[in-house]
Amino acid sequence: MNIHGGKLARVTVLWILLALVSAAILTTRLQLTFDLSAFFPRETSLTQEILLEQLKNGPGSRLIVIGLKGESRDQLAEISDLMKESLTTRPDFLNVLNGEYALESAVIPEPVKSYYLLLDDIEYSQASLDDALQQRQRDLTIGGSSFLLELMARDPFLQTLKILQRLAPVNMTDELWFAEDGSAVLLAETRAPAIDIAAQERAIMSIRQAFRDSPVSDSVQLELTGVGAFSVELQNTIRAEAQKRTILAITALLVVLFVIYRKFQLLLLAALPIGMGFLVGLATVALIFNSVHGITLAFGFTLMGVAIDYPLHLFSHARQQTGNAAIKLIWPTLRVGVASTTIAYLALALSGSDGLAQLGAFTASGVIVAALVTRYWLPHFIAAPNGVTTTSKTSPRSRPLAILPALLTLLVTVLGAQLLLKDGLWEDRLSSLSPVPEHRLLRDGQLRSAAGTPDMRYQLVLRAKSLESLLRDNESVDLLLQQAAADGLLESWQSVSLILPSQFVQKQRQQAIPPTDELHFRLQEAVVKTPFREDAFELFETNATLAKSLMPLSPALFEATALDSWLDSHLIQVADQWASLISISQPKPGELAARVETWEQQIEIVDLHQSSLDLMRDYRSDAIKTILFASLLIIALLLFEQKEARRVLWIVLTVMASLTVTVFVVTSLHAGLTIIHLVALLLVMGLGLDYALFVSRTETEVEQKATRHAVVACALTTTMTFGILAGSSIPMLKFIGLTIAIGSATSFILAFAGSRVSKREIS
Amino acid sequence: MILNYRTQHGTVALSRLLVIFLLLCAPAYAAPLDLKTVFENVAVTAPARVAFREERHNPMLKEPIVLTGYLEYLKPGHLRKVIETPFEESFLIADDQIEIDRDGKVRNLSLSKSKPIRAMLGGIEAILAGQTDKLDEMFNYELTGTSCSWSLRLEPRSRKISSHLTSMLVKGDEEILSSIRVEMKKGEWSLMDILHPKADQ
Repeated sequence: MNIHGGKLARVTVLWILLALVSAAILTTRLQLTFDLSAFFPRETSLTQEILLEQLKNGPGSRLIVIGLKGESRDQLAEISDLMKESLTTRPDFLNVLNGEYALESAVIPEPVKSYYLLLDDIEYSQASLDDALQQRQRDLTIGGSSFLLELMARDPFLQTLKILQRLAPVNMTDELWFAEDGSAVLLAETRAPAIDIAAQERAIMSIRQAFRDSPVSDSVQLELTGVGAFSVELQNTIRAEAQKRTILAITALLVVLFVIYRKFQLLLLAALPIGMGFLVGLATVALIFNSVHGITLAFGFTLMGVAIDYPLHLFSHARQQTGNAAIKLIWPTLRVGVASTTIAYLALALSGSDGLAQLGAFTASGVIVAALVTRYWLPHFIAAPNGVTTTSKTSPRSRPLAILPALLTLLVTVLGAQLLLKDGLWEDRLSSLSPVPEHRLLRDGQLRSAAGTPDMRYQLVLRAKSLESLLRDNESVDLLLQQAAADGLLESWQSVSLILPSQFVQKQRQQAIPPTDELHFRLQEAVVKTPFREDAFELFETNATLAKSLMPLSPALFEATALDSWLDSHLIQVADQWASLISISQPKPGELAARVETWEQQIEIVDLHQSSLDLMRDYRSDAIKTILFASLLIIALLLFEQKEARRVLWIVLTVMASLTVTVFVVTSLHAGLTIIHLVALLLVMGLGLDYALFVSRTETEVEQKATRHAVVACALTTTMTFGILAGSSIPMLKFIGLTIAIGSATSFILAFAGSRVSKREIS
Repeated sequence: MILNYRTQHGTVALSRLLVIFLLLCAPAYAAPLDLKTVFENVAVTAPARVAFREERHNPMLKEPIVLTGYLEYLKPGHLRKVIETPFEESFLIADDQIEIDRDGKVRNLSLSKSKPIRAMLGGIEAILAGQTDKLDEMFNYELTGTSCSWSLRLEPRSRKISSHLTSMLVKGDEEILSSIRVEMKKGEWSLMDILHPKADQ
């Protein structure tokens, strides 16, 4: 230590400086997000863009599903009513529904409130006015709704109600919603998109507050599901679960390391490369990207599992010599491993999605830093142990490497996969990426089905060059759809025309409103046939006159209104085109598609389920291509470094065999591979390369012992810590944990099986 | 029936009536007025039918709408209000459903509108069927008067219903219900007079 004292101090100062700079970057730039869509692929085609838009921002995604259970139906109904009433008044929600169409709580949103006379064709003839007033007189005999009275005065046709009812995201049955298990169900449509976690959190707090404010006996349970609710929940559970599992894993790691090395000092030293790697890796991501995803943070750390191997190799080899001597011995091998792993992670950084790019950049930079710390900083701390047995007298010898075990395993696994895995290797459902536990998703489905939310799988997409021509086309398509619905090809649909008619049609409707005097005259004619007061409909007369000179309704007028997001989910502008998304319920997809094809408008039916599968497939094949390319690069690197074709062949085969076994086992257990598994497999590749590189080294007998010691330590710690993650309930953690635990164990077994050693060498 | 006559005849009739009143009502008068007795008196066995005349007042109207028709108690849980003039319309409260027949078109009215009417008809049915528990479940009530001339003031327990329907005042004698006055929010109110079958003839 003394000899190196000065150098150690200099090196240490440099590393501490780097740590401080990283910390400074983190404190000024680090912004965490929990937006799951960062892990969705970057969009490619228009339909895929629409799909992602729907996932991120669609009306379905903005629904928080509220379940109430544990009491009698009547009591739940009362709470459901109260919560609905109180939530309706909160600014967080556009719409709060529980199945009943409650007039008194309905607030008429702009621009419907101003433009109600232009949103539908209205007949202003004497007969039509007579009829409307007769109907309203009858409505009065039912009585009991002050809202209705106010509405009538400005809208004797009750046009506003028709518009609002058609805009509801679900088919209102007018009965309170109850799920099969007796839970009362409410749907709260948030104003903010699901990805705005802060807003979703506020919305959820409002819901919980409303629940507490209602006369709840303690036996009533509140359940919240839906994209927004899950995101908020995940933000907390991912954090808690990741924390719990990480603490468990690290504790186990420390215990095992202590048992293996029996030196407390080494435990602290092992933390240096990992800690520095984490700090610098995170700072790198913070520098490159605007915000760091929570998942990058949680899972990137676990992906750096490969980095713990670096100090372990050093420690095992330093049992017989100084740290500096040991690192010089193993560095060439370690370097190749680090370079290969970095190539693999950089490949990840270049493919797929922002989330994966972050993971890749984080892990690649983290691994490099961890390796550098192991090479240039750690060795200074490790003095030669007492009673040193200096370098072994025996000369280095190459190990006999058997290709057969790996080859056999590879063949048997591939054959087994052919026979056993009938469902295919890949799980392409977008939902498989969801970190939401399966039972929660199932529950969401159960509650939603009580509310009869429409199946968002199919949509019609209509396109045009300008907004006006799109709206005109949409109006024609509405008529065609009316016919199609009459022919039973679909049940119902919602399109932008409901709240945004073309300017042409708006003008027509303005012209259809009779002159003020004329309307007044007709209205008086109608009023005298009823007991209504002469001035009962004065407000309607005023509004009709105003409507004639309103400036045309345009998307700009929806900004900051309650209907803004409704419009957004039905009308989008993509590049130089406008698209209308027409949601359809209960279509006969095949027949409807055939019918739509005959229309002259630029319209197509989109199967969101299918395009999500396509999307994932494209995403995954992109990732695979990049990874294959990276593998070729790694093989080239190995050949360049090792110059020993047989050893390289052995390494490649061993790694391939362990990857294949891992894929086989994981596919059988998890019903298919997802992109997350793919990411974890990259780490398995890194570990496998590391083990294979080391056990195939040309070394002296003493070194061989040290190498075996190191690889056993690495494999043991990795398998154990990731085994702990595999027990998690969060799919992403579980996928990563299991894949790496199995991969590490398999890589270890195959590497040892392939490098024959005589019995006396086993220590 | 007797009370109906009282309103039509003058003070001469009144003294005569008082005698009858005392004779008829003496036993009941002595006992404290309770809901059960009242209900036993006015209870009706289904099927039964009574005619009504109803005035509906509303600030939008220059004069009240006057409805005539009949109430039909079909069987327990099934009560129908049939309007005959000035137009034809009927409401059927059957189990937990309310059906409106307007010009032959049957539809279920939205609950927000039908809740007050359901409460109202439900309350009447509870009285006719003598179901004190059911009435108690739906309303806070206050019974005043004598068994010969009682009034029952009902206020809905449900906060939701009371946001439309403030109160109901049901009046009756020892045989029948005679009138129901319903107070709603925003100056809306209605008065339904039950026309006794004999008086009707």
